[in-house]
Amino acid sequence: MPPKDKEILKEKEVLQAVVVDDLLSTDFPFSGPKGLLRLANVRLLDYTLSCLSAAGVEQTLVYAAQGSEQLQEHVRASGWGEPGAMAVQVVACQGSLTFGDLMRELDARNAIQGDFFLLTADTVCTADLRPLLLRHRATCARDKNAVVTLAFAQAEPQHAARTEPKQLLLGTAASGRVLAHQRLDPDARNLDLPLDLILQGPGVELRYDLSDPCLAVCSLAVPPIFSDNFDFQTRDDFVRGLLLNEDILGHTMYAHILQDEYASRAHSLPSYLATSVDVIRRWTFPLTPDVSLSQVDRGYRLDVVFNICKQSDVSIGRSDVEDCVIGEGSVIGDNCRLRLCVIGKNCVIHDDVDLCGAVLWDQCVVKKGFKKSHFLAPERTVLSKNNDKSISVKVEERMDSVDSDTDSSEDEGEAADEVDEYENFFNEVQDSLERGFGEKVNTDDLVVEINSSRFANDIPANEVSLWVSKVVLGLPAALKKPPKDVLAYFRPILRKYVGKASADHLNCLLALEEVTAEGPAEAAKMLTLLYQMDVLEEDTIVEWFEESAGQQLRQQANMRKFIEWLQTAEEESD
Amino acid sequence: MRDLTNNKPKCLLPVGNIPLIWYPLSLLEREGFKEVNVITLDVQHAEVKKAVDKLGLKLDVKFHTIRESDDLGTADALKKVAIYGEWKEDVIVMGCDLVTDQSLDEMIKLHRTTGAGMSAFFFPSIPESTSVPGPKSKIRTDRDLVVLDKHNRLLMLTSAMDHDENMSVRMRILKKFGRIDIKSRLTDGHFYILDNRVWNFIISEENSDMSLKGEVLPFIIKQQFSHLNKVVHKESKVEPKRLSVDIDDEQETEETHKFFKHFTLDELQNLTDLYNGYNNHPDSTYGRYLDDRLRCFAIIAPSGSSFKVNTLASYCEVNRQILLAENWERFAKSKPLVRVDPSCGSKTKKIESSLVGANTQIGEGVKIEKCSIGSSCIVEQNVTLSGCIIMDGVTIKEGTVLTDCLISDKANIGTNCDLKSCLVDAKFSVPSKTESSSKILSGVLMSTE
Repeated sequence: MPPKDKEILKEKEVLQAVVVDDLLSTDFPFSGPKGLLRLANVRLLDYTLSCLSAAGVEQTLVYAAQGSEQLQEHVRASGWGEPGAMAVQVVACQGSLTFGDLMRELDARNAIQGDFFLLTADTVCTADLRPLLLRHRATCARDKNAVVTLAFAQAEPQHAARTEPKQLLLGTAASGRVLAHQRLDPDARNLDLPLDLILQGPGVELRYDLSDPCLAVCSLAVPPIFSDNFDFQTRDDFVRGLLLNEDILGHTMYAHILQDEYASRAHSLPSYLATSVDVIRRWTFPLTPDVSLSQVDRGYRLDVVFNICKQSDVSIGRSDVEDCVIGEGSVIGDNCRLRLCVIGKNCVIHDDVDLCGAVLWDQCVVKKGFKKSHFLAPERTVLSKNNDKSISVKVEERMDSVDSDTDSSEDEGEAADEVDEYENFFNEVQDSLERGFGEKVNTDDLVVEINSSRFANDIPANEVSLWVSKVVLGLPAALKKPPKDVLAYFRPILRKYVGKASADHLNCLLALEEVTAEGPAEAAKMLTLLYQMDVLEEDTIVEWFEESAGQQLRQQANMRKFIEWLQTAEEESD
Repeated sequence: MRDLTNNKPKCLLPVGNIPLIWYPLSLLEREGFKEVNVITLDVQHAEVKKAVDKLGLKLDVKFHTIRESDDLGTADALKKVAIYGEWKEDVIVMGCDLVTDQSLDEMIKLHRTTGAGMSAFFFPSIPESTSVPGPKSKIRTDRDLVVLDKHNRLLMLTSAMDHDENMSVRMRILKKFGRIDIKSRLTDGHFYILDNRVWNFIISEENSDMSLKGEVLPFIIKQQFSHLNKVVHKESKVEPKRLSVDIDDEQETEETHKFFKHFTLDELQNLTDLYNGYNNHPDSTYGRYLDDRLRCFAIIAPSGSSFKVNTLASYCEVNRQILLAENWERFAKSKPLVRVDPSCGSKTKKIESSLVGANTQIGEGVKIEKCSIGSSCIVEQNVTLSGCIIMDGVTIKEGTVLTDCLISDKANIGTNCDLKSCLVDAKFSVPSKTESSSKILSGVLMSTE
């Protein structure tokens, strides 16, 4: 054992850690405490506690904003606190909501004896924390004002782990002292740094290649700072507050960059999914399901060839499954393709399913032919083509990183959903217009109906004109009435939805082309009607005909005649 | 510095009793250069040429003069003297005021390994607390702000004076490099190794900027982030695509296009890039050197290894430093250290760590400590000198005590004076029994009194 480690052991005081279990992001369909959220089928708290235990922490205090009984029960069941293991104490803090509240509670209870590790229940870290503690102590010996050493992991700007919309920028001095801490607006062009900051020392190192696992070593002085500053709610508030009031408070902070070690945080849905993938890919080893982090979620065996971590009673059909974690009693059908998925207990996956980067909690059912990627399905969800209650993540928020694989596959998934919505919308509008024409309903009332089904199906504003035109122009054929009567009746509706924008006019022409695809002879007739009724303008029609009209329509004699007539009319009017 | 350069060209100020220009010239000579082009003002040409001829260098020194009245910037001056047309080789541009112990060979090697378009030489600035003769000025000296990546790639070069309260860094740079370092305590050695393509741009008509440091170099450094600065392979003759619409791109002037015209497609270089397995950014999705054609690098020397003699403080500091035998060894490699010139008529033995020039007379009972004294001076008896720089032809009358003073050419100091941290102007006579500290003693001031 190196002599430095002995120094730690010699300390008389108990080495403590505080795990803050603040409220879970509302992204998650989970009502329990954060620590009991499952990441790759293992509770988040067990990742955190394993890391602390490995660092030689003797006592861990879990400050829970909610669900302390459940946490207590889990801690007992998973074997923490047994003789020889790290002591874990769950502290219930009713009425505390934020990180700051829990820190104030910590201060009020006076439970801290010396330097302690401070992290949140969603921190996943495999780094050895002892060098971090030694570094903090060395810093404190040098700089009496130092109170915190923040740990960061490295992640280049294109890294997949950077899921935050506002990315961290850290400015440090050569000594590691934190001089600036900002979350940058993704659209910002420039970063402005105070000149004084740069000139006060030999320079500033700007780090835009870090991810923040919310892990720190704090001195005894930290909890009282939270009590003194009631406005500190998050840890970022705390860091920024210390920097801003450095002159008044006189506290300094230092940064420690974890080299080649894994540390991240699963606090939002994107970061949860990204961290899941990291666990599956075993970047977090030894914090992986097959290592049995606790006595609760255990019994995972690793299939080394395909990197599948599964419990007993898992049945996989003739399917292509790779890089997955699969819980007890789950069944996977034939001809499926699963990649980087976490599947909970007793899930049923039918045939022909294609999932990538999916997280299914317990007892989910995936129906035949379902295809989607990067989403979370809460417990007992039934996923089928027509009924998709899963929660997806938009990966596009990530900056410049061009990850064509994930982007395109996600688009496919969305396109599949959209088709359903558009079909719904089309059918609903057609029903109400047919009924409206038969019963001579006022067109204003029809507009209300169209709008309500538009919002129900979430149709983008710029596409409404296309679908409404399609319905109206298709009606004469559907009702077997002369186009002139039908179009005349629905003229107010067309005028309303086709409007004046040229994009809408093009949509209308597109719809016309589609509707008359089988009988191009009708096209010229209807176009003439639309022109006469002032729905479409001659410029748009001519432009469309010359640039984008289909071959079939171009060859129509009537059509050509009409266009020629339009052109001459235009010239005359000029 | 103005007080010293009124009467004497800067490049002829003595450092360790040798004119300043000897240091860069001997450096070049040592490293095997055969020919050096020196640009001077026309009014100083004769004086400089005479002094350089006396130095006994084997180099072929060619002089070029520019008219003082034209008030030209460095870039303009380079254009005036670029008589050879387009060059095929890399070019070194340096000021006459660099004193360094760094190996030029190493710098050139670094320039060539990185394939840099421009390499600039930096070293840690001398501390601000360095004592200076003359009144204590409260004017904060300007600082260079040098932005580097972890491989010492030069990303920005500005001066603190150019910014008001904030310094603005483009997000593009941050996103591309991830980790950047803003240094505020580096001195630009005004020593640049320029790729011939960059050089040809600077001397071409297309470059309209006057100042090398203030305009041309920042422009070149900025071009590293232009969308035109991408490696283009022969297979894909398509114009490089812009990834995102950026205002900076839209504002990209004709100048950028003119600049990259000099960067013609080099097929051999492209092949080398293509088949080279080396990548200095292994973690990124980019190729080596982030797929950039033009790249600027900084060469950073260790602390105390170099001096840029453009302020009074650095002038005094370098003179102080060079008196130590080991420093002399470093900075003036080829010249043996001669403490007291044999032609001196010295009647005292109390000369410590000092330099005394030719034909200087030193009287009895004189104590000299850590001084450099020029040639043809007369130091009368019982004078005490400590930490002084005394130029040529100075007369110091008996009983005078000088501490940390700077005495210019042919000054005359009366009997029993006591001067501390004073600067005495050329040809000025200090009356007897003057007691003064931290003052500039100058004829101009006296006449106004």
